Amino acid sequence: MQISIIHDLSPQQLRAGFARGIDGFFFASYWYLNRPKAYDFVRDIALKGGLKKAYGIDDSVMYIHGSDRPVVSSKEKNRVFLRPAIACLREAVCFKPDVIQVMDLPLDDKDGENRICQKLAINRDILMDFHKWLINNGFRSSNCYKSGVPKFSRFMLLGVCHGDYPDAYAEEAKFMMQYCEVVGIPVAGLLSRVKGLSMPQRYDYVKKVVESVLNTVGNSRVVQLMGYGVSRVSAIGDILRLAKKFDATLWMESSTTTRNSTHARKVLSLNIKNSDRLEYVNVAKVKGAEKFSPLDIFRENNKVLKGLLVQAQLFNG
Amino acid sequence: MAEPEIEPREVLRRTRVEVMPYLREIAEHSRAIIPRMEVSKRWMDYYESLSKVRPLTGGERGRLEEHRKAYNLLAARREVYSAAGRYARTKKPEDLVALRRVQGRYYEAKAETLPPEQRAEMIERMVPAKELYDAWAKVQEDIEAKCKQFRAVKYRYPPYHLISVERKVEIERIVGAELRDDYAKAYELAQKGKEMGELIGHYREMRRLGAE
Repeated sequence: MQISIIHDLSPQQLRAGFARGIDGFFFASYWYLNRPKAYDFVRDIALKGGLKKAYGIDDSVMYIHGSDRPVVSSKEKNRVFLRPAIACLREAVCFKPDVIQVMDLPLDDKDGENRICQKLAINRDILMDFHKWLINNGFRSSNCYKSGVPKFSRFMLLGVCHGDYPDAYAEEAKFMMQYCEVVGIPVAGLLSRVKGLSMPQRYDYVKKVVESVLNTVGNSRVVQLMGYGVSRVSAIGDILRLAKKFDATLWMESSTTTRNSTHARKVLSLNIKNSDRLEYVNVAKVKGAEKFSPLDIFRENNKVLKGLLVQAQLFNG
Repeated sequence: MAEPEIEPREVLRRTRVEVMPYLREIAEHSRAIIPRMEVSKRWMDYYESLSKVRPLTGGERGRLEEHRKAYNLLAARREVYSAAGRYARTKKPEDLVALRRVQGRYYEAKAETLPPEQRAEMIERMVPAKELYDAWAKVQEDIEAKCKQFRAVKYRYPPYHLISVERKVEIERIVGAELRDDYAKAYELAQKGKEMGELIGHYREMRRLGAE
């Protein structure tokens, strides 16, 4: 069993050295697409030999390049338009990441049975297109191991599984694992946007989804929990118990940590009244942390998060 | 006591002698990696020690760089074999990730061996054209405006709050068709290997022939 934490970082944060000493980071196209000089940014990074080289990031840090995603914002100018999938893949290749996220269409609460089937079919088509394009351009070999993954690949693929019930996620994961090294579960949406469920019920549903996917994938692929909201200690324990059961390798993506560290200047701490709850508290209220810079806060939060995971592993071991 | 100074010619002779057994091994086993690495390492040592005695000539610097690239490539290839063997034994995801990362390094080391002009050309070819970004931005704006108009008509926001049902249906149909065109254009823009003008011409031709 292995657990890593992946942080969502912006170009400014990468320049400021946030990527030093972490397990990995997620960098998506929305950071530069809405800027007027998007092309210059992409070309500059490509000529410098990739994002890691351009920002002097250590090779051991995992870099996941995110795909376009429809960002729903109240401001029209912040909305992101989904570009054609292959164009995004070409762009992603220029950044030389370790993992490329396959573009996916997320499901919506309003989607009916037909719509869901269409979206899942489109997601599968996009994955096949990505795989074929990488083979045709010499980034992947066409001959595979018995497990289905190609024998050679310059990039790993992260396929995101969507579904409307736990077994649907498992079904998608079964398809994704034929072509992808990393199987992603979009947990953030399940925890924040599902209507009509209380928080414990949402965590329970997430647990069922993760269990169902791990049941299919086992310990043959890395499973990435995309946006796992760390707000309950018991929820972390549940996930770790599952990971231990299946001897799985999990990557937990936490954009909340970065957001709280840099914008809100808050450090992760336990709630005294309810020891199960984790909260972010302003540095002014924490003794010894008053003069922390955003980078210090981020490092502290990363350390605490890792400590929590280790502690949870020990308690659940 | 200072070390006795060795003539560069003497160092060259010693290097040649040291390299000989490895060359014999390579002649026997053409795909051997370690002897090739040893050869590259010996020549790198030679040029580095030579650079301490006198500045290297252009040709010598080039040869040193070639040996360095060859060494990196061979080291990466060796790592690939080792990681592939480990993954074949264990089939664990962490070993698969390690294998992929090593393969990534191997790919980069191989790309390094290309002549700089060819490499730059390869990178430039991969970067999507500037016109595409401009065109995408324009299509994006267009789609946003059309979506806004479509919503306004559908839910009868001003200035469409007083229109008749027939007019509403008609505007919805027109805006819907325009939106479809925009999406088709965005898809066309992603096709590689065609110039912008060529793409638009192709798109117009397809539309003229009645493609949806």
